Amino acid sequence: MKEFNLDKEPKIATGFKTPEDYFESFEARMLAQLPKEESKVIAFPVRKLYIVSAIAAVILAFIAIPFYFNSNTTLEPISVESYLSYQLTTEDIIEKLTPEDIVAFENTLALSNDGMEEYLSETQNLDFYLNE
Amino acid sequence: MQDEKVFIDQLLHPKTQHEAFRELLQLYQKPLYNHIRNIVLNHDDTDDVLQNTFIKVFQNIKNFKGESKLFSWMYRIATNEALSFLQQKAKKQGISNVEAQQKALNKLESDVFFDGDEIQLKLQKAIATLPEKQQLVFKMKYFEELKYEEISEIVDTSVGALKASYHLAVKKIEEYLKVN
Repeated sequence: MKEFNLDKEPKIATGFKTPEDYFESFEARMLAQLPKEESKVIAFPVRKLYIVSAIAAVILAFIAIPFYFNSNTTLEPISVESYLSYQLTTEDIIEKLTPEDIVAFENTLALSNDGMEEYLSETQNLDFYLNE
Repeated sequence: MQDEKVFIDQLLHPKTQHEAFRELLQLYQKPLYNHIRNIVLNHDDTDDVLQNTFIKVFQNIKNFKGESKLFSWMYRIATNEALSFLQQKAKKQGISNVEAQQKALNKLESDVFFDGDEIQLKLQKAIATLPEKQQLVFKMKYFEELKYEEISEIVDTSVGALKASYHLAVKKIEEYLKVN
């Protein structure tokens, strides 16, 4: 059996090899994984976020409220007519009309006798109106 | 290397970190590769562990307190990465760490990136008979030629204990080589 003395024998290498250009490619691979210079994300404290949200909501309300009320005061005639047709009966309207109003209507409508007869002849409840 | 504190600042600053990291790679990729390769034996595994090591170095450089040298800190990360890699590999295969190392040794003869002769292969087999800590100390002292003080900082063991460990390892290896 041969004595073996590690300190006296020539140094034994590991015997490990690396692929050609391994370290050059390793360096490039690692550098490619580095994050690019990023714009800083500034953390916003939650409490401040609540305060800013509340201020934003108040400002929005100040801007929105006048628009809301203005839109209610400027009503279109068609909307008024439509609203009245649902809310008021013909009897309600007749009750409010004065003789002057009826004359004004007649002038506006410019009804002729022929036109009136033609309208009445097409009305199914003509007998009912005649007996009223 | 320039003052280590300045260099770490460069690694942390977004404007200088790319160039500083390149310098870090150029300085440490070869010694760390050798250190990891001595532990995991296989080139492809070493490549994986080396990548993980540098990624961890980069991610954790902000936490580096300067209590030890950057060199020791990086070696410590590489050692931990290599040892936990081996543990996970053995676990995946459902075998013990010793069995996994034996398996890796058997593959060494057919490894295209191992051109060791008979004595080199025998030495690897002799090292594999040692306990994990003795293996580590022997490889760092004998192959990597690190000083006891450096190894002490890396493995967090006193110089005296390391000397005793190395001496014991050498005796066991000489005995193995004498018999085999």
